[in-house]
Amino acid sequence: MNDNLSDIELIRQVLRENNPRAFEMLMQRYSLQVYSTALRLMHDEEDAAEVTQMAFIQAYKQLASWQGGNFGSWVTVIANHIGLRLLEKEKRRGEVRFDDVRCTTDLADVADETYNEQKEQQLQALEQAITQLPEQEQQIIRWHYYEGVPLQQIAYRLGQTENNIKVRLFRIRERLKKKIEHGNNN
Amino acid sequence: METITDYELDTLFQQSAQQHKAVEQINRRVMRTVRRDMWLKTLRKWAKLLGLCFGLPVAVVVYIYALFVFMPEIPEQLQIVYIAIPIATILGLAVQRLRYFSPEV
Repeated sequence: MNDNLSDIELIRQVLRENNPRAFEMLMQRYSLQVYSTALRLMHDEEDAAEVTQMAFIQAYKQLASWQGGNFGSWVTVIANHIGLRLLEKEKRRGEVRFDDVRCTTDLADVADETYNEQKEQQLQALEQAITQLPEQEQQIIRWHYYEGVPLQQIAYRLGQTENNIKVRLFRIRERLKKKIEHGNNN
Repeated sequence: METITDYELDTLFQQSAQQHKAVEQINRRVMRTVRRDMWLKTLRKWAKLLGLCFGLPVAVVVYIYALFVFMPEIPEQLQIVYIAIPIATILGLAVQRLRYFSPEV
């Protein structure tokens, strides 16, 4: 499927053709944005994951009522509503957290970390800085840091020497550092 | 100016990768629900079609058969009711269909 399809075209495909791949593409576009918002609201990674999941499922069920505009913003609004409702419920219940009633999740590896506003800002600055890099440099970063591909393998894939990749990676890192520092100071 | 060390950048990459992993898990779980729902929708569509193609003719045949078998044995007023009810049902269904008719679906 074409990655350049607009949100509205993807939504049409979901509604008219019942195409799950179209909804998956929409999710891939916006799930990190929605998750970050949920994290800012819930201050807990598991709760944020739960809210994000519920928001996308609700968005899917109400897709026919979407009235245009930015799909990501729409889902973010839904996530905010869900998050606030859960926080309200939690508050009413007193000390009982909604972990007890939550569906089983498999996010143990990302849980147990308390929310940190500055860390979250730096992470967003990093994400943004990565998207501003040229396509090939983004690919190097994705392979090396997100997929754990060794430098030797990256060099092979790009038809370059390992030393060349090391130098490029060093330069990319310096640029990213500067951009994050710049982001922090704004 | 606050500077970022190599260690801090590595930590950020690690945390970012963890977030990406978490988001991928969320995406997978949502997609499971979405796929199941789409599958059920397709199933319902086919069930409706089969019902229309086979269920409706069967119902009509059974009704006409019953008409021939039982009609001579029942009183005249009931005969009118017996004929009027299915006609009203069919008309009602047709009106309902037309009200919710959408060329897009």
